[in-house]
Order: sequence, then C-alpha cells, then structure tokens
Amino acid sequence: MNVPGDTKRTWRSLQRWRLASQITALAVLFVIPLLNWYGIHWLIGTLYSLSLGDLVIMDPLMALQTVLLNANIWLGLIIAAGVPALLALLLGRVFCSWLCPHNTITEWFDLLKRKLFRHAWYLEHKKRIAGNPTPLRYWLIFSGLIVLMLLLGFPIFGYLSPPGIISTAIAHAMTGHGVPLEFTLVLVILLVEAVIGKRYWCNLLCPVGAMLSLFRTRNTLAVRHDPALCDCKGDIAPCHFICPLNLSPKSENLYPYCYNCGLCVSVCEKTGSRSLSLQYGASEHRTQNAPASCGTENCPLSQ
Amino acid sequence: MSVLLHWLYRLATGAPYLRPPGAVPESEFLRRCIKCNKCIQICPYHSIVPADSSYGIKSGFPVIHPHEIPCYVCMKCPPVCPTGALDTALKDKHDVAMGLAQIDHDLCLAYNGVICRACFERCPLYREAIVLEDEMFPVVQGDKCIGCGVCENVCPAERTAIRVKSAHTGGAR
Repeated sequence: MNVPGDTKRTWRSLQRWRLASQITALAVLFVIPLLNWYGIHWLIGTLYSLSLGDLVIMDPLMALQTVLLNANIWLGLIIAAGVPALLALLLGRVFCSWLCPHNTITEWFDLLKRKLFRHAWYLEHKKRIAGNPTPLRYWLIFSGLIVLMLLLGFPIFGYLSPPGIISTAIAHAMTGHGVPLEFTLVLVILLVEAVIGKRYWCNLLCPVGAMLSLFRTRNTLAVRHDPALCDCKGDIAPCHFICPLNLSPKSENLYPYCYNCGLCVSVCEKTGSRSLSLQYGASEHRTQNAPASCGTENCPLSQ
Repeated sequence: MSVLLHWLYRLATGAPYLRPPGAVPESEFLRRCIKCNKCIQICPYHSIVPADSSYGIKSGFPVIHPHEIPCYVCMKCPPVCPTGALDTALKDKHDVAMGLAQIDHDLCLAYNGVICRACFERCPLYREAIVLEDEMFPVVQGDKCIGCGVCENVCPAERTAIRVKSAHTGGAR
C-alpha cells in the first residue's frame, strides 16, 4: 500500500470500487435463491454461512454462538469462521463497509435524505461533536449481549444480525416464504436512524461488526493521519463531516469503530491536503488528541 | 430468563412439524441452527421450508410439512449444515429418525375393505418400514420407520389415515 510521504498515490477510484463491491454483494444475495431454485447448488447459504463449492464460510459471530451455547468446537467450524476473520485481520472491518447489505441500504437511504432534504441533512451533519466514543462502551455492549445469550441459552444473535437477516429475507421472499419476523429489526433501525440521523446500530450496537473488530492487530489496514499535511479550512473537518459513522478520523479511538470505508481518505484527497491515508502498520505520524477542526490559523499541527 | 424463553416458545402455535433428516434433539437443534438456509436451498424437492411466523420465536428454523411435501430422504441436506444442527456424518437413509408413522385403522381404506397399497408402494424403505400383512393390511415397523412422511403425503383416504408422529415436537401430527 501507501508508504508515508508518497503523495502521488490517489484514492480517487476507491469509492467507485466500494460501490461496485456493495452492488455485487447485494446482487449475489438475489442470485443465490434463483440459482438454487433452478437446481444449481454450488453457491448456497446466506450471510450467516455461505458455501462456495466445498469452501464453507461462516460469520465468526455465529461460530462463537455455536461454540459457546454447545460447549463444542471442531476444526471445520474454525476454518469456516477463519475466512472472514482473516479478511478482517488484513483489511479491517471491510465486510461492513464493502459487503454488508444493511450498511449499503443505510448509506443509500442517507444519500436519498441528502437529495430530498438537503438543508436538514447538512445541519444534521454539522452538529457533530468532536472526538470518538471510548472503545470500552463498544466492548461492554458486545460482552453484555454474549452474557445475555448465555443466560437465555438461546441463539439471540440470529435476531441481531442485520446482514444475515436481510440475506435470509431476500432468500425467503424470493422462494415464496414471506419475510422473516426478524426483518422488523432492520426496519426499526432504518426508521429510528432516519429520524435521529445517527448510525447507532453500526456504530455501537451491531454484534457482527463487534465480532469482526476483535480481529485487529497493529498491522491491520487502518486510516492514518499525517498532521503535517493537514491544512483544510472550514468550521468542521470534511473528513469528520463525511464519515457515515459520525467518527472523527483525526482523533484517537478511531478503532474499533472505523470500518475502513475510506470516505474520509477520499474527501481528504479532494481538499488537496492528503493528510489521511489507508495504511498497513502503525504510523509514526499518528497523532494523539488532534483537534477535530483544523483551520490553517488555529491548527497547531500545520505549522 | 428461562421462564421468559419458555413463554416465548409457548407463543409458537403452528402445527407440529418434522425437522430435516439428521436433526439433533430439539433443544440442541435450537441452540445449533443458525438459520443459514442451506438445507432449505439444497433440498431438490423443496420439502424443507422455513417455519412461518405462526411459530413465533421458532420461525425461520427449517421444518418439513409432510402433508404438503414430504422428505424423500435424498440425504443432500445433512452434509451442508455448518453447525452440526443436522448430523453431517449421516449418509444412510436407514439411520434417519425424523418420526414414526402411525396408521388409524378406522380411517385406513385397506382396513375398511378397500384395496389400497399407496403407503406400502411409495415408502422409501420399500418392504422394510411398511409391510403388508396377509398381502392386504399395511403395518408400520416401528424399529424401521424413519418418519419421512411420504406415506402421509400419498394416503388417498378422505381424512389422512397414516400420519407421522414427529420425533422433535412429539404429539401426533
């Protein structure tokens, strides 16, 4: 990837690739039931678990649930859950930003809001508070859900995984079995977030994303900030303004929340400063407590 | 917590069902199945369907309603289960235990003077699970019947005379 100081590298095509990936992922969910209905079975499953020929891929959260509820673990399960885990170890939570249908729908919903209610959308995004929530909050919610699952002895994550629920809903609806009850959750999230304008589900609550966030090392692909290059004007930093998860890419505690969609990196390039980039490994330029808003006059880091 | 769960299970009012072949006992099945849909999708006869909303908290889990489409024990579904809710090692249809067929002698045509061998002829374990007594009266062999429900599906009697008692829900269907 990008080496520090290499300013020739551009991120312009990144968002185009991401959109292509999101559309493909959504299309595949419609193609699978169609293939199956006509007797073609080399690709089966939903986003809970997919089989591609002999390769079985499984949501690590579902694997964890099976292991914990049944006190039973076997090699096939580890390999199946290992595929998404490896992807997360290399590229971060890109499943959420590049593949998850819930995120795709929410993003498009937000885009629609931006087109229809431009002013309200702008005000809503302008209200953002600097900084990111502490990681503790994230892990507390996730472990709380796991404890709840163990207390109930029931696979509750099947009711709390929007990507799985949406893919199941598509498969069931296309084969004439109606839409599953769990789909209500997705509708409720969409409605609530449309009203309050904040992505609480993907940001804080989603157990699928939280599980994938566990697979992160210092060398995982991450958004890096080079304060020496940061010189954009405006009362709110464009990278913070554009972030779909309401995060501040220049502040600390960006992870485990950030899902590496790269929108902040793209917008940073558009402003011409190129201080944000997606990089492997820890960067020496990573700042602690950088101000969220960084104008040329008041930014202590751009001198 | 478990009281709450029990209450939620009680809300499930749907008719008794069969689980796909190789399904582990019901309580373990509910803990293992992640509703990934694979058994439903690989079933060539569309026998396996997701339980509809009348099953409340149990909806979405795979079930078979033999009266609509029975299981023809092609044994394609057990190997695709990723979590062991279906016994993935199960290959032989003789080892399936989905339920047990029961004949109501008052309704069965053969026991009422009409020549009928529908269930006997169509049983996937031909001459093993259902045998004819005196070349006339079908008798279910309790130790052989796997509960696939083909007999229930083909029974021509006005009120179905042979019904499968599910190994998972108990109670006659």
